[in-house]
Order: sequence, then C-alpha cells, then structure tokens
Amino acid sequence: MGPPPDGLSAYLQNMADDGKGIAMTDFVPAIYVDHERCIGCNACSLACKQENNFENSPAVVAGTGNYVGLGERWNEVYEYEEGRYPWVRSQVIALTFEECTMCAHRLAVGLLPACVITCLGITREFGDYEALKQKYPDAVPMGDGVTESVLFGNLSSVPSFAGNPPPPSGYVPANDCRQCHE
Amino acid sequence: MPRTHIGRRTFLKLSGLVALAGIDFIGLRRLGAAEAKAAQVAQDEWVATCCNMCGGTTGIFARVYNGRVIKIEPNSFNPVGICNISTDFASLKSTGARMCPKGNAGIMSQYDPDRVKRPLKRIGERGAGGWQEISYEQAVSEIAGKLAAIKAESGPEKVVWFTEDNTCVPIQQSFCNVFGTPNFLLHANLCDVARKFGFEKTLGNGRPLADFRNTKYMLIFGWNPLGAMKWAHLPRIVLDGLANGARLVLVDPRCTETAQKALQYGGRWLPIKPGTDGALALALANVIISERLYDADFVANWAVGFDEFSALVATKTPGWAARITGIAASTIRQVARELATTKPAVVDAWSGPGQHMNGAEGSRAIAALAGLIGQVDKPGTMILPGRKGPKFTVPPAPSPLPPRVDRQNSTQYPFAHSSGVYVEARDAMITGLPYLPRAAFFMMQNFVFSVPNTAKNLQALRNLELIVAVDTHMSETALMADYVIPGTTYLERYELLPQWVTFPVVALRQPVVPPLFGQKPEYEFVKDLALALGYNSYPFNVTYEKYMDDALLAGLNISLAQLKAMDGATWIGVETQYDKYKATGFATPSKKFEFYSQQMLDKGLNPLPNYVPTEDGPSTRYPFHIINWKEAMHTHSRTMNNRWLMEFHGENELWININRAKTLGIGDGDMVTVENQYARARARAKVTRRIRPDVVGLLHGFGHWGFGQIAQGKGTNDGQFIPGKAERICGMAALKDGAVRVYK
Repeated sequence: MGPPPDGLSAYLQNMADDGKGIAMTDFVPAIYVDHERCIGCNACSLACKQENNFENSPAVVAGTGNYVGLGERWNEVYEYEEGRYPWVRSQVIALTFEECTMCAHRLAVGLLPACVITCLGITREFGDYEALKQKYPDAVPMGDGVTESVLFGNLSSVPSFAGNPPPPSGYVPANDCRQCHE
Repeated sequence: MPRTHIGRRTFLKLSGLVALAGIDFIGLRRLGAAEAKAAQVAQDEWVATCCNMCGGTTGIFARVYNGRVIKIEPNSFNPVGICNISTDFASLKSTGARMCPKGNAGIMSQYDPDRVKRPLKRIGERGAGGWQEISYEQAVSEIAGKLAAIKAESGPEKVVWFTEDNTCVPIQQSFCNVFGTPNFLLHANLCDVARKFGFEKTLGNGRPLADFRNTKYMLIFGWNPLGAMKWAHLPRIVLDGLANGARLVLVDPRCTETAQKALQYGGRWLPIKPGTDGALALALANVIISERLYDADFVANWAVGFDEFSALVATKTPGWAARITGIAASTIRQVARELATTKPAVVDAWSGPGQHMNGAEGSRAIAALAGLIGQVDKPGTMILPGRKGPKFTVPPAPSPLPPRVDRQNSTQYPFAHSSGVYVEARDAMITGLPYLPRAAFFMMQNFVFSVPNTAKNLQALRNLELIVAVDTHMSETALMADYVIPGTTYLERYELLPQWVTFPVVALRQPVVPPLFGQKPEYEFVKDLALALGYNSYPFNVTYEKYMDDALLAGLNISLAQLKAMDGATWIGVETQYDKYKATGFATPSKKFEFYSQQMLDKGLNPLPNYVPTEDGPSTRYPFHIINWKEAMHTHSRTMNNRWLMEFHGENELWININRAKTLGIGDGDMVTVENQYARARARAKVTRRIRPDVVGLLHGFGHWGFGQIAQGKGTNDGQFIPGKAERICGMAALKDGAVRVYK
C-alpha cells in the first residue's frame, strides 16, 4: 500500500490551481508554528526523532546523511510560567534547531515533514517561506542555533484573565517569550 | 534566511515520484545521497493498524522496510486521530490524522532490548528475581497441570484472572467461563468506572462523548484532554472549539495543559480541592434552578425527579460550596449563569472527580448538570455514541456461578461495574475473605503499580501459590510471578477495535511484523492453555483468525479479509445521529433522564446525587492531598522503559505550590521526602504556581524496580501513598485519596 493521501503533491497542486500561489520557481520550504494552539506535547519532537533517527529510520533508508543521534534532538519544547497563584501565565514554545532538513527525503516523494503531519494541536503549516510570511505578517524566525526556516506565530498570546478575578497589583505579564530559552 | 541553496536540477532528481517541475528548492541541507535513495521511502510497505501505546487505539500506519518497522505514521482513513463527529470527519479527512508522542515512540517499545524473550520459570524465593528459561510447551503444560489441580482440589473460583481491556478480552472471558471461575477483572475498575456510573444512572449511557469541536461552552471536571489525551484527535477538537469562540472552564487542583489553554483563550481555571467536584456541581445546579435558567422544556418532557433534585440543591448554595471546594461563591454564580445561557454546551468529566471515595455520587451530580441545561445528544453537547462492533461468541458461564472473590456482584457494591473491584480482590488475598484465591493471571497488567497501596499489593501476591504474568516486559508484578510468558506488542498481534467516536467505526489491529522472538500472541497462549486442559470446544478449536472472522460476520456482515482490504483497515458505518432519545427514550429504567434514580433507592441508596465528603484527606500530620495524573508523554506504568519518551521526560517530579515550597525551604529541583503512614520515598520537587497550595502530585507510573533497565530507579511511585480503598457504590479504586507530608 502506498502512502496516505496527506502528502505534499496535493498541497502543491492546490497552490498552483488557486492562481494566488507563490511563484513556484522560488519555493523555499518552511514551517509556520502557531503558538496559540501549541500544547507542548512534543509529538513533533518524537516524530522528528522517528523520521531522522540514526538506527532504523526512513531518513536512513533514504540516506540523507544527516541523523538525530542517540540522546540528541532537533526539536524540543520549552515551557515557562510566571505570575502569582492562581493567576498563572504559562506558555510553551516548540523550537526546531539548525540541523533540520525540512524532511527533504519526504518532500522528495510527496510527503509533508514528519512534525507537520503529526502535530496534535494542528499548529504547523508547511509552505513557501515568503508566502507564509505574507500570510502571517507577525510571525518571526528565530536564529541562534534555531532554524530560520521555522516561523513562530502568536508567541505573545498573553492569557487575558477575562474569566478570573483581576491579577494582583504588581503582576507584570511578559510579552516576549523568547527569553524562555536563554 | 536559509543559507544552503539547492539547484533546480538536484531537486528534480530528488522529486522522484511526484511531478514538481519548475520548483527551485532552497534551504534543504546536507542532503548527501538523498537523490539516489529518496524514492525508497515510498516503496516500503505501509500497513494500516491501530496504536496501543495507550488504550486509545488511534489509527496508524506502520511502515515496514526489510522486515522491520521503521516508522509509524498517522492513518487518515481512521477517524480516531482526526475527530469524533461524522460530518467533521468528512471535511477534515483531507487534512490528515494525528499521532501523540507515545505513538511516535512506538518503535522504541517494539525494539526494546529489555523485552521478555523466552518463557521464564521462577527459581528461588518469590520476588527474588531468580529465573530459568523454559520452553513454551513446558510452561503451558506445567501451568495447565497446576490449574487443573487447583480446580479439582478447591474449586475453579480460586483462580483470578486480571487483564488490560484492550487485548483479546472475548477469548479470555471464554477461558474463564469454561474453566468455571467468575473472577475475571478488567482495567476499567482502575480507570473511569465512576464516570461510567454517573452518566449511566442519569442519561443511560456509560460512555457519552463530548462534541468539543462544535460547542460554545466546555465545563470540564478533572480531565485534561490536551495533556492526558487518550485519542489523538482530542487536542484538535478542543482547540478548534476554542478557536471558534467556545469558552472553556477547567476544574482541577492542577493547572493542566487544558487549564492553560482555558486561561489563554479567556476562560477559567477553577483550582478545586480534590474530591469536592460533586459539591461544585450541586452549587452550579442551585444557581441554575434558583435563577430559573434551566431548560424547562427538557426537564418537563424528558426528565424525572426534577422537583426532588431542586429540593436537594436548594440548600447547596454557592456559599456552602465555596467553603468545601475553595472556589469563590461569586465565581460559582458566574460560571452557572454562563453555563446555562451559552448553547450548545458540554459538561464532561473523567478520572479526576471519579477516583475518590465519593466518586460515584460526584460523577452523577456532574452528569445531572447536562440534563438541567438540556445539553444532551445534540451537536456541540454530550453525544450518546452509535456503536457497532464484532459479535464474539463466548461460551456461557456455568450456572450457578461460585461467588466472586472481589464482591463485585454482592450487596456490598450495589452498582459495581463488570470490570470488578481490584481492591477487594487484593484484600481477599490478604484476609482470606470471602475466600483466599490460590492463583492469579496478569495479562499485560502491572497489578503492583496499578492498584492503590503498593505495599499491600506485594503482601497479597506473596500469599498466592501460582502467579502467571503475560507481558512484553518484566514488571513489579511479573517479578512476583512463578511463570512469565513473553507477550506481544500491538505491532505483532490482532485485535478488532470498535472505535471511540460518535458514529460506528471498527478498525483492525494486525500483525505488522511477526513476533520478534517467535513467541505466540496472547490469544494463542489462552487457546493453548484451554487445549492443554482438554477444552476442545469453540473458540479454542478454531484459528484465532476464524474466531475474528465469525465475529465480524455476525456483527458487521463483513469478513476479516474484507476489513483488512478496506482503506486504512477501517470500517465506517452510518453518520453521527442526534436526538436519539426522542425516538426511543433514554436507556434508563424510566426511559427519561434521571435526576432521581428509583433503582438506587431500590438498593437502599440515596436516589439523588447528594454530596458526601471523600475520605483520607489532609490532616495536621499529613497536610497535603496527594494526587496523580497522566500526561501526553507517558501512559499508566507501561512507557517508562521507552528510551525516547524517557529522554524527554525521564522522571516524575513532585509538583508543589511555589508559596508552600518557600515556607518549607524547598527549591525547584531539590530532592524532598514524601511521607505518610503507608510509605516514605524521595522525590524531586517541581516548584510551580500551577497547583493548589494544599495539594502535591505526581505523574503516575514511575519509581520502578522490576521493569526494564531504563525505568528502574527513575522517579517516585505515587501508588504507595494511597490507602487503597474502593468506592462503595460502583467499586472504583480510590486512586486519588491520600495525604502526605513533604520535607527537605
């Protein structure tokens, strides 16, 4: 049996058909991650290991020459919290490191990257780098060891506290989550 | 911007099977020999099957290359992993199914070097860890000989059979029936029996499923669908609901992943005192009734006992509940008004409120809320699933059956679930009351870790003459056994799985690779045991494939071969049906939604879901409630030897409130001592704002000494601190009642 029908070919077909797609000659594979929806489960990280693990993975079968070694990971979820009980603000952030190949060996046969198809929160969208940036103007790339091909959206989705009593005075919500991996 | 540039020609060569002419790929790194071999990725074999890293049975594809499973991927033909409503499934199918981190680590359990490879026979003292490898034939014949002797000497009921409830249950039930023992216990008693009871006694269905995706309001008691996900589609349907404007109120002593999202989307986290959910539910009902916000039409036409229920909750004011639950009266009033005036709404719960000594009544009070606001079996509410499945023929039990060892069918547990009462079975092994069992089978179940009060569990097992454990790995239970039979993983055996969605779906779990060590699947072991005892009747005298085939033909009128050939090895029946009760009534004795239960009164119980305090809570000596939970990365006590999962979460920290930790001089990451009258152990503290100050808690399933090498010595066993009682109406193991003190 062949691969299930959630592959890249259908995706690219749609992009070409709607007439609004990007110029295909400049396609740069990238992933947009919506942190408003991320639940921090690490399914992406495990899917990445499974796909690219050194021992027995599809990446080895495909011979990409770039593997996640034992104890290593190319994807990782960080979490942090602040506030004062019970006014808790916490956020998770899923980072993808420089080694990421965007699952080139999958793209080549019409499958989307392993992390994209497994994500439980449906936070990940695969597409052309510039097209994704246009679609999500607030999304930012990371850098500093974190791959720039992954765009981070809704990083500062601060809980509104609309439903709970107002936070005590002195409570300062942070707006920039990037400090959490420093 | 990405630095590496791969030219158009290289990519065209890479693209292999798909026509992507005209695309210039930039940013693919260090591709190496990918050009030559990429096409092989699509040439390996994709076998449709179902996961079993937890009991959720999410649809998967296992990719096999050179006789080895190299990767597990989601199966978008199977709704489990996509959503639970048929119309949603039709529209979401093309976006693909999903898989949780455990599912993504399945190959590490499959190819774990610590798996049990040969049948083992104990040498030396029980539990000392001395083993001798024996042949499978010798194991079967010796075990059968001992079973026959026990049956002849003291009756078949002296054999107690425990099993996980996802693996060949019908043939195990057949064995117990033919052998003559009534003592067949399944996992559910340690899971959600109180929830089952609550919904069954009100709306007549023990497993309603929440339509989170199409709702506008979610009130969830003690369940964490975004963390402890059982089905891989839960996060998607909850988040889609939130994105569509639904408001989420999450009731839990801990700020779970779901509570975090509730806050993020403008909902609420209600940090409740453990075991008081029923009081909160009654106070919500008090406000809804006194402010006349209930669904008068539903209550008048489709419910019984509303007047009695109104009288009961008249005194259950928000002020009364605030003192019990720790939730402010004003908050209770606000939530009650929102819940009653936002439609459609979901009121759901899982193990949190249930695993207490007042779990049955608490669950019933929660279920009553759904009826009060008329939010049952409509889009966006609690749906009564349309189920269809294989019909296995199970030989009848002898009549009369000897009394059960776990008192499941006694007056002591008037509404005990068919899965039994583990705590009573364990206590019988210690007290000899109602009688002392002589042998126990443990099929894929770590009894020592799963039943509350670890020390008692070990004491109980020492009193048995024969213990047989069938499992893929050693466990604390297997360590106590006389015989350990190597089990199979979900990638090595069959199962027919009616799926937990709101429309009828049956999926196949099938052997993707042969059992790694040539061992026989669990059902073959049961069959061989039956044959060795001379039970030459159906289903033991046919192949297991034939048994499944017969069940499929009887239940769905399809054959096993047909199911195998279906897309994703998944059979899908009719669409999700709504308002079914309007045609047939609810499946309760009165055919109505029951606020008032005559059948409970008939058995001498309160017909109304009154609040009773739970037991074994904090005291001056032991000031903290101790609770436990499940997360996305681990299941029960089974995944702690999975190298990848342990790499990501290899220890279960003791969560403690930041303010209490400061008073006790405990810093984040410090080792602390957790102690009560049952046990004392060390744990690593996680100092957090995300838990009530009077509660500490552990992720369940750590602290192994008898599991594989990776699991041993990691983290802290939560079950050792729990007194180990059973709820007195439905027999639910009270896994979340207990108190400890914590010091550095």
